[in-house]
Amino acid sequence: MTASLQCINLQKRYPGQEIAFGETGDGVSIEVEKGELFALIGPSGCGKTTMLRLIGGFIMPDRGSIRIEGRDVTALQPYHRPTSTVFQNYALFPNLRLDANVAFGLKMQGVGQAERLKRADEALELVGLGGMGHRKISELSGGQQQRAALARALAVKPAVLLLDEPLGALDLKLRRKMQDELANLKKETSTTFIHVTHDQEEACAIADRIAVMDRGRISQISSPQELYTAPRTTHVARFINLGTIVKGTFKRSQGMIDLFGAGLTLRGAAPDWLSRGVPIAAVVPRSAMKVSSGPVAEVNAISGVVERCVFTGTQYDLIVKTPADTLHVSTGTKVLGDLAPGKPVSLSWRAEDVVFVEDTDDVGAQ
Amino acid sequence: MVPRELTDAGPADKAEPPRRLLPNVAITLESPLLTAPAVVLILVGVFLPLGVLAIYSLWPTVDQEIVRQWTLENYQRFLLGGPYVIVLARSLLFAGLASAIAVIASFPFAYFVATKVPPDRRMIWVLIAVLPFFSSYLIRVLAWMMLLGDVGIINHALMNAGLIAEPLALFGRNTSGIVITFAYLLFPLTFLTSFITLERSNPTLVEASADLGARPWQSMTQVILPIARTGLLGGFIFSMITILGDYVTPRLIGGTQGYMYSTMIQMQFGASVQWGFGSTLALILIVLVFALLLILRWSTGGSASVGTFTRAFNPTPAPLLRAYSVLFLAFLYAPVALLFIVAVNARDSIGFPFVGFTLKWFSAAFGDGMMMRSLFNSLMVATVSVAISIVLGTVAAVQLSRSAGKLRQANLAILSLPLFLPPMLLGLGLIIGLNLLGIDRGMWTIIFGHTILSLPIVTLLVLMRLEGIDPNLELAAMDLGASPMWALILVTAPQALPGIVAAALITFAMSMDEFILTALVTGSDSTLPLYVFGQLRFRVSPAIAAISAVLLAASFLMILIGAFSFNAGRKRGNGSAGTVPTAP
Repeated sequence: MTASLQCINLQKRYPGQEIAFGETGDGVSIEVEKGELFALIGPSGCGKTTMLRLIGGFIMPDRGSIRIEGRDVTALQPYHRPTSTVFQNYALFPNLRLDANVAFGLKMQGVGQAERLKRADEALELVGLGGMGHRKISELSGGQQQRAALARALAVKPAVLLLDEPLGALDLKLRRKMQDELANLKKETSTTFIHVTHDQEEACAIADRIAVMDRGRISQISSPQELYTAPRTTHVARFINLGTIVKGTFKRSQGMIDLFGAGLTLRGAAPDWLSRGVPIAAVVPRSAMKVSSGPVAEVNAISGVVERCVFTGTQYDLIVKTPADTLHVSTGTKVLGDLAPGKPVSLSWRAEDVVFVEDTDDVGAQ
Repeated sequence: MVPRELTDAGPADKAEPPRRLLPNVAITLESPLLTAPAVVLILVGVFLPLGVLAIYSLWPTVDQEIVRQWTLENYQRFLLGGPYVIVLARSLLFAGLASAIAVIASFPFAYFVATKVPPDRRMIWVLIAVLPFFSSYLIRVLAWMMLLGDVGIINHALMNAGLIAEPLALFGRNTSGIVITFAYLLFPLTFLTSFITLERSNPTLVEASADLGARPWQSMTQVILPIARTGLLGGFIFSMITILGDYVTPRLIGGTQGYMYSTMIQMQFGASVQWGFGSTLALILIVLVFALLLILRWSTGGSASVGTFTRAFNPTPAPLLRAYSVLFLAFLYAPVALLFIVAVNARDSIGFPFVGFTLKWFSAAFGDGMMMRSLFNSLMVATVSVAISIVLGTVAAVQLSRSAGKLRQANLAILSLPLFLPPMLLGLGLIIGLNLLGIDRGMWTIIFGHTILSLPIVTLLVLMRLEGIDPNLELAAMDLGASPMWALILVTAPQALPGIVAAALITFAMSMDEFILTALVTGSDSTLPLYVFGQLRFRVSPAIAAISAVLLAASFLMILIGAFSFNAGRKRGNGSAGTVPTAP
């Protein structure tokens, strides 16, 4: 089976832009299966919106090609591509009523009036706006506008649906609700979803696979679970806020790595994908750290002083000042006893919890 | 004609800003008495005279004297007694044609500036395009007088170049000449009205329509034009109103073929001395103007932008559109540039070739005692009328910015009305009012007329500036111990000052250039534009071009300073995403 969407070696440079999209290596490539919900995440300016605009045809790549269901669409204008976009600000036409907005794409396809309205109604039904077709856009709430934009994009039955931070403007509660609805929609339609967001929790909640982008490149493509258990680079680990990143000199021996940071030594298994010769950093997930008052072991442990204890609503976070760094430790829901500020503690973790990643922090400076 | 939006450089928030809630905040500043002088002036200077005009239209004129006898004979005469209805129909058709050309030809340029020019450079483009609109009307007409005609510069140059054997009628002093001139005069206006609506619309909409399968022309007809229709129609209607109220341009450009409804009205008050019938014709024009404004009101609205949008600036290059825009600007400035060249050309008559640089026309112009007296009169009229307008308008704006409700709406409506009426009607109203009271005209009537033109502009400009100031700033000052009056003086006034300075400069420049109203309300006094007009009737000499060049340079300078000071310190609060092309 051919992939629903293939982006091959894409490159794009805007005039005057410092970091070009896909300039290092062979450009940016992704392959997305039919019906998959594929999320693009990354910080501001990482290129995820550029990626989406390239797929939608709003900008043309300098190099590389894009295929949708096996067909090369690289040179096609947006109006010839089987994609449709849910824009960040929805971009609903203020001069048209809701049903005319949803039927716009069908009208452009030459679908007759009656059929058009019928299918617009179906699309509105699908997103929970049934019976509201006669409303003006200005009469819709933010959440309704979001659904309207979704219905408009789905009404043309696109091969690939592009979502540009579609939930960004909604409040937290509404956002969670829409995430569930998006997941359901994906099941009901057989459309491929490309979802751009900067919210890694949102991506994890709904995506089949996630691509993390950094400075115009893709750092990692993996399932949400793998992203958290096996991040590949310091950038990924930092972006998903996994835990403490430790750098230092390291030594490899028999599938194990020893990393010597300032005032502590980490030991763990070397991941098989990690090739020799790349700079390495270690990540200690915040949830893997154990707090005790006993003596400090030589490896995978460090002593420190409690600086603050923070209750975040769902769990306790301990902030511990150590010679190496100020560490954030998630201690779960258990209520901590005597951990007043100033109290010395020792932190330790298991070797299997240590994650080694490629240190990509200096790559941008090349 | 200055529609309210003209002076609106930024996106004015039509929603009422939150009103101050504290009842003890400067009660004196909220007193409706502050707005009263300005409102009374407009009522007496505009509304009352127009009422008198309506009455006059029901009185007959016998032996050049108005007779106080109620009759409909003026209206009968309009309908049956001659070519009047036909002239009106012809004028409407003609105004519609010229306006349509102005709207259509300026739209691609407006589209270019609104969508293809980076946001930080847009203001400069707008300023360049709009500048001619605020500069001397009469002198821009003069520039076209030089260009058009069988021996005008265009035909002359084409024949010299061997491109044509006979003068082209298209560039003659005839109907086509008037259409070209009017379209030229109104380009800045139609550009601005289109630009404002385009600039306020969501740029992603075009992408969204392409995404849904719309070809570029479908995006244009289905999305862009419907959204911009408020601006397009607004530009069309204001252009029509301007043309219908202009009796000078047809006469200067068109010779005997320049017989339009406006010139017909003016003649009733001049040579024919038919005041009653003239009032009837003028009243019909007023009704027409209001009908046009009503059409505008009915057919617009409903396309307000929805939701918030970051203005990610991400244009596709448009070389054709850019070339058109550059040509458009060149067209806008070419006649003005020609005026400057003619003014320093050593030839004894207007035209080419350029035989040598000279300043003799400037010294000839300034050596003329009549001209210096006119200049002095113009300066005096401008100074006094602007001073009155600034005082009354600012005080009114301070009160209006602190009030809400029906009274505010009514006051605003009264103060804005003169902006929507052609200056010819305001001038006619004034002379009819004076005629009824038996008062002689003089310098003061010119000053009064100019005050009526300036006051609404000052009030609205200052009000816009005041409403752009965060009301919390004054509350913060009071929170820190300032009394309401001190908060006004220390916090609000410094921020409003650039708006006041801008209003003063712009209205001063407009007063220096005003001809249409001035020519009607003057007694025997001359102002500079009246002097220039008088000279034009004999011969278009390079000396006139020299005076015009000086006037034009002065008003350009004043308006530029005014525009920059209005924008100074005004925060760019419309969420411009700047030039960063990747808005993630």
